[in-house]
Order: sequence, then C-alpha cells, then structure tokens
Amino acid sequence: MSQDFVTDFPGVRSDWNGYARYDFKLDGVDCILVKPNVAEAPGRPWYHRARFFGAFPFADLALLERGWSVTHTDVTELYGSPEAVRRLNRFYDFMISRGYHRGAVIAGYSRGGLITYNWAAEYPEKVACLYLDNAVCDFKSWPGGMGKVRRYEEEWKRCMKAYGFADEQEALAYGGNPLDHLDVIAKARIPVLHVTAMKDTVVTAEENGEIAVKRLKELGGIVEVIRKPAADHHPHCLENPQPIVDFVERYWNRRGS
Amino acid sequence: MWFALKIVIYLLAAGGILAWCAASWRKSRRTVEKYLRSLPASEVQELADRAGNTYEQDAFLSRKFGRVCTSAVFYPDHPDGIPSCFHRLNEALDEPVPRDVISHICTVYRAMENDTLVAYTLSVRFQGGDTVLVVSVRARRESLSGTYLLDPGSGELSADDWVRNPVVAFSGPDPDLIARIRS
Repeated sequence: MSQDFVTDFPGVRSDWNGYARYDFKLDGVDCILVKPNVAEAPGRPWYHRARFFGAFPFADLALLERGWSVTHTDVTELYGSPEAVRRLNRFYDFMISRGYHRGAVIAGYSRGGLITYNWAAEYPEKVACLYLDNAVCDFKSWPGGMGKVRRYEEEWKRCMKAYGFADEQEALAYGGNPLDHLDVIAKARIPVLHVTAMKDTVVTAEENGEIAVKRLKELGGIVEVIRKPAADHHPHCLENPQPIVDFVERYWNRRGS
Repeated sequence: MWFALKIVIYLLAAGGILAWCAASWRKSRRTVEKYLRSLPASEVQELADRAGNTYEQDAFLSRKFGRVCTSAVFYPDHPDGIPSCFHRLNEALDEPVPRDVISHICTVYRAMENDTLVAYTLSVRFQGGDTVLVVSVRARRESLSGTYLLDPGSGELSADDWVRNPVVAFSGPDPDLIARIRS
C-alpha cells in the first residue's frame, strides 16, 4: 500500500454540528474528516460522503452519534471520471493508513452516484456497502439530457472535459457509466441501498436508480430500495435516517475488521 | 392367551419408547444446561433495550464482564438460517456447540413474541481455554424483496412482503474469538 502521502492532516479544526471537523489537504486535494464525540465504534468504521458534504446530513449525524467518522474528499466537477476515482482511492489508502476500517461505506447523492459506483466497480474488494440517493447512474441521462430531462449545458461540457472526450459521439459511446458495470457490483456481492424519489425532475428515477435496482436484482446482487412516491430531487435522504443506518450497520463489517 | 401376550408386548414397547424419550429429553436438557446459562431477567431486559444497537449492547456487556466486549452479528435471511450462524461459531471453537443447544435456541426464538430477545450465556472452549459468549437472537422486520415505500406523512416505511427475520449476535470479552467468528 502506498503511504507516501503529501498531507497536512489534521489540518484546520473547526466545529461541524457539534463535532470536531478537520479540513486538510491530501496531495493538494481538499479533504474532510469529522470525528465522533463518543468513543469510536469498534473497528473504526467511516462513512464517506462522495459529494455535497453537509447537505441533508441526517444519516451522517446519526452515524456520528454511533461512533462513526464521516469523511469527504473533493471530486467537484469530475463526474466520476478516472481522476475522481484516483482521488477517492488515494483517500481510501490514507484512511487505511490511519487505522480506519478496510470496508468503505460510500454515500452518493445525486451526481455523487457516478463516483460512488465507478470507484466501487474499480475496487470492489475495498467496499463494504453503497448508499445511493437520487443518484445519477448514467451521465447521458444527467447532465447529458439524452432522455426525458433537458440537458444541463454547462455541466455536460464540464463532464465531457473531465473524461477528456473529444466530442459528444465519444461520450455517447463510452461504456464506463455506473449502469455499465453493475455486473461487477453484483458479482462482488456489494450490498447497495437506493433511496429514490419517484417524481425526480432532475435525475429521473426511470433513467437512473430504478434501472440500477432492476439490473442488480436480475444479476443476483444484494440490493434494497426505498421509494419516495411523490418526492422530487430534493430533499435527499430520510428525515428519520434509521433505515439507512440499519442498512449500513448491517453490512459495513461484512468483510471483517 | 396370545392376545394377552400381545397386549403385554405392546405395553412393554410403549414403555420402552417412553423411557427412551424421557432419557433423551433429560440428556438434551443436561447438554443445554451445561452450555447455556439463562441470564437474569433484568440483564435480558437491559440487552433487549439495546438490541438494536450493537455498540450499546457491547458497552453494557463490557460493564458486566469488567472487560471490553465486542460482537459478531449475523442477519440470516430466514429463521432457518440461525444454525448457519452457529456453524460460523463452531468453526472458531475447539469444541462445537452441541446441536441440542442450537435447536433449543431456535425453538425459543420461534416461540417468542415480537420485539423480545433470546439471550443466554454460552460456555465455550477457544484456543485451549474456557471463555464465555453472550448469544442473543432478536427479530427484525424486513421486506423479502428489499423494496420499501416511504409514507411522506408518517415517515414510516411500508412493504408488500414483510418478513420477520432473526439477528444473531455473539458478544464476548475475547477479541480473538470474535474476530475468528467474523472472518
């Protein structure tokens, strides 16, 4: 395992919802580690918010209360591209080098679904379980706008740039979206929880989460889904995050400490 | 005469079967008692109050044993999966837990009401020494297909296919044993 990190950990300490938050850089990339106030849960589990740290943090706070650490590394504007995967993997190695649990629990909200699934497909042996929330599972749906919703022009340009696509045809032919490698997730028996807003007008359920759930079931994967029948893209998560906490705590240690 | 003899033979056979059943039952009970010690009601209640939170359960048991306790927790997909959890335990132990003990726990689990807990102290041998484990079995409700619908009003989940499945926890003060059960 590479441990030649260039890091200023623990960086700057501040308060986050009553917990100690450390902002630091790892090879120049912004990272966050929030520590629990209570004793760390045995095995030192951690819950990684792939994108939008701090937004709808119901599950994050519930897990902190139970002795988990909550983390984040910046993958802004990378849309799950290989560079995003590299950054998250670097962060994983860092966490392991600090003695945290080997099974990563990754939460992907919205476009965070891209990096969550893509990293898990690249490194399935490092994953404990995944929680996806109104998650983008195919950039052709969002921001590409190839389905029911409009194209998000600026985001689509940034997405194409992040992947280094020369033109749109190359983007459309790309076979590395989350929906393209669900077989890896299913084969590795990675438990997946989708929380899906069924009236999502941005990241539509039928082009993203619902396809993922259906395919994972067909492939024999471990998948659960909580459908919010009348909900739009926001709010994410569940106000009472107990079902999410139950799912995560059920599976986080499936590979042992 | 022959009729009377047949009656006697039948009576003797029935008596023999009854005696064999009683002896087996006594032997089974002795085996169960040897390996299992019922926890006091207050401790079972304490555990039941913490049954949904492994960390709190471990903290309670750590206070009880005066040593740090950890646990290996299993979520079988069916009540018939309880013995497979004990299979994992047995693979770690020097001497396997007898079938009678496992059968007893399964029977008590099936008979128990919702939201209650089966909890015993289990005497086992690990790496040449005696140690104890607290085994607890509680019930959790889950969707068979893993498909839930959120009621936006109440915030409750509903499902068309609820099933009641067990959660089996082996908790104890020997971290090596717990690690072996988990692995």
